[in-house]
Amino acid sequence: MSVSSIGLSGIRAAEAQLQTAAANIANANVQGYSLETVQLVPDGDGAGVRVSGIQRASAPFLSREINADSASAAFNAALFQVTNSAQAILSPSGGGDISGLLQNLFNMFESLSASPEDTVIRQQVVSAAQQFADASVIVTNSLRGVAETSAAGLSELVGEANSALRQVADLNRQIAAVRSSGGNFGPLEDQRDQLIATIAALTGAEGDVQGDVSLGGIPLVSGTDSYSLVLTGSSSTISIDLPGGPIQLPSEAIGGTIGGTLAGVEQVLSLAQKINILIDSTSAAINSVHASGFGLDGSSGNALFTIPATPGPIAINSAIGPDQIAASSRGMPGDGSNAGSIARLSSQQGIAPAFGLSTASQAWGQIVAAFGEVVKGANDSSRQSQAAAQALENFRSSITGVSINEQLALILQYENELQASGRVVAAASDMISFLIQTLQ
Amino acid sequence: MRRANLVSIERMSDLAFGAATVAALNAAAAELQTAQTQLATGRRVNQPSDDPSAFGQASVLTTMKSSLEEEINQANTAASRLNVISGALEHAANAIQQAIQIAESAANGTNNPQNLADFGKAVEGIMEAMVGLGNTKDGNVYVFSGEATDTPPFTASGAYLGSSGANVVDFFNQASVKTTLAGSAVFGDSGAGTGIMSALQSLLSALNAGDQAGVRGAIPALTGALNQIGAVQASVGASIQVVESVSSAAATQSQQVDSKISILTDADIARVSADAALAGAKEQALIAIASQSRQISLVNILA
Repeated sequence: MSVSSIGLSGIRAAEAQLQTAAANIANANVQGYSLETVQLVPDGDGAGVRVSGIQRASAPFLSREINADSASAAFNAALFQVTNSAQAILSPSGGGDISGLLQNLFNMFESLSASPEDTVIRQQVVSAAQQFADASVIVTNSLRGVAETSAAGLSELVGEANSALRQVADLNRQIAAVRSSGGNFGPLEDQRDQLIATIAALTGAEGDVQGDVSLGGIPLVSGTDSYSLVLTGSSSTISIDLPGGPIQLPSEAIGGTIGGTLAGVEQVLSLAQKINILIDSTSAAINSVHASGFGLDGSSGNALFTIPATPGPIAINSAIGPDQIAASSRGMPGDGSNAGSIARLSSQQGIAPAFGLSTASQAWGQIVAAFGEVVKGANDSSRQSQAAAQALENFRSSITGVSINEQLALILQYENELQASGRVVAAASDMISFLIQTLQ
Repeated sequence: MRRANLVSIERMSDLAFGAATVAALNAAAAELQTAQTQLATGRRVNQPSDDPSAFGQASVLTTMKSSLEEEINQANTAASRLNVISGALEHAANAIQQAIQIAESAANGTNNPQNLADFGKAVEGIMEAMVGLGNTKDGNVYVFSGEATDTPPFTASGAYLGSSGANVVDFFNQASVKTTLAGSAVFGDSGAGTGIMSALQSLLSALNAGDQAGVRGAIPALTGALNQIGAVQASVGASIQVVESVSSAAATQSQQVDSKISILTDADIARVSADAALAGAKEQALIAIASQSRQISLVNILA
């Protein structure tokens, strides 16, 4: 190989390196872009140099870990978002302070026990009972509303995931085509990695270096084929539409935002169920004592609340007015002993058997504390997973990311290579000219 | 031979640097927001997730506090009624003493029939006053009518129409007091020939009949009725002490519960202020770092 050819190969190599550095700088702030470097190999007898290809920096193990942490962060963030909306309902300002309103009702009965003939206090008892019943409706409907609103957003998320799955399958096809033609398929792999990260964050699915994606061991993308996720059962379960028929995923297999939203909806509905059980049990205990007493009008056997057959919100018995509040055990206007018995239910242990030996207020405390743990746990886990994903992302970025300063330093190096190679070509030309002149 | 410790410094891409800075800024902003919320509300626990255990305990304690406040109200209401009863009993005792004095004056053997008739008129007034005291009301409640609190318990002749029971108020410390009384157990029943009502009727009959022996014979019954009223007064006095004690104990417990709620949910203002200042400083430092890192870029050096 001539000196001139060697110099020219150096110029071509430096030019390719400069082009790659320019592309790296241009894409430095593009999310998901991976650093590219020119692969050089000795050419011919080893005197020259040749560009063998463009290598895309990758860290598949880190990418898988980042996707797993991002999926966990997204799961917990969605769980937090749904449950955080629900916990606002439980505060006094949210209208759902069941324990406070129940205690207010017991307090009114206690007042009535001292002044059983007092029509003003009787009216206050009716109002307190109405407020308690209204709160049961508000809490139940508000919690169901949170669950329904959250579930309604699932179809959009599933659509987003299905779109990304189709794009991954399509990119697998394009990558195979570019690879077979010897072209640079790095940008396509960048896109695919980004889409797999999106799918992971939405569903908790895992992708591999071939671009295959699976969820709970069931394929979502296999080569150039993709299979859709389907929302079933009133937006409460997810199936995968496989050629042999749909397969329902167990809820614990679904992660990411979709899994977190499903888990959040389940938690909120479970909370509503527990609250309704507490309200219904306590109301039944009040009804039992109330029915055994006598109203100011002599009426007896009346329930204060109507309670649904399955756990749900209660209502005040429409037959109950101030005169029908059964304050007396003996049908005497000045006897408040039955009202006193109802008031003492506030400290009765085991009033709601589902909550063991707790009083009503203790059971409420257990319910809100347990739900608070769910909300707090989701928030803490989301932050931890985000921090872990961020740390791993920084690590991956140290391998695959672009540092503009580093690229600028390399450009100086490539410029020097280019100038030096140019000098080689010029020297070769001078040498040939000298030889020609000498021979002449 | 000493070997230098090698420190590994990772490459830092511009994108990662930006993302790390934004993440750190978000974390600092979240810390600042938490501190500011606590400073604004004065509370560390504003919702269940802030501290689930504390929120649950505070919820139970808040209910307990509400119950204790109702106990205080209940005790105050009972005390008010018992004071009405006590006042009526005091007037009744005074009236009986007047009746005894009249009976003693009428029975000393120096009175003519006209004098006895005059004494009789005075006893009629006392009888009327006694019936009025027996029909004492607290608001709409006849306090000496037992459980029949909507009915005047005594007729003009001192016959009892109320019930033999009483309304009993129970308190959280197992104490209980009667807030209405059966009038027959206090004033007797002229129809049944018991108590002050019967004694006054007997005295009146003897005075009107000019029967000095009968007048003398009425004195022990009057003295017995006075003792009966005295016993009821003592019982009512004890009840007043009970409700005052209940009120005081409930107030003390309420303060203790308040203190527990405060410990569980209130913010430590000094510490939160320091946290807010620290989070603010962190935020400023991160902004400065982000700004400075751009200035030392190789792009600026080469430009």
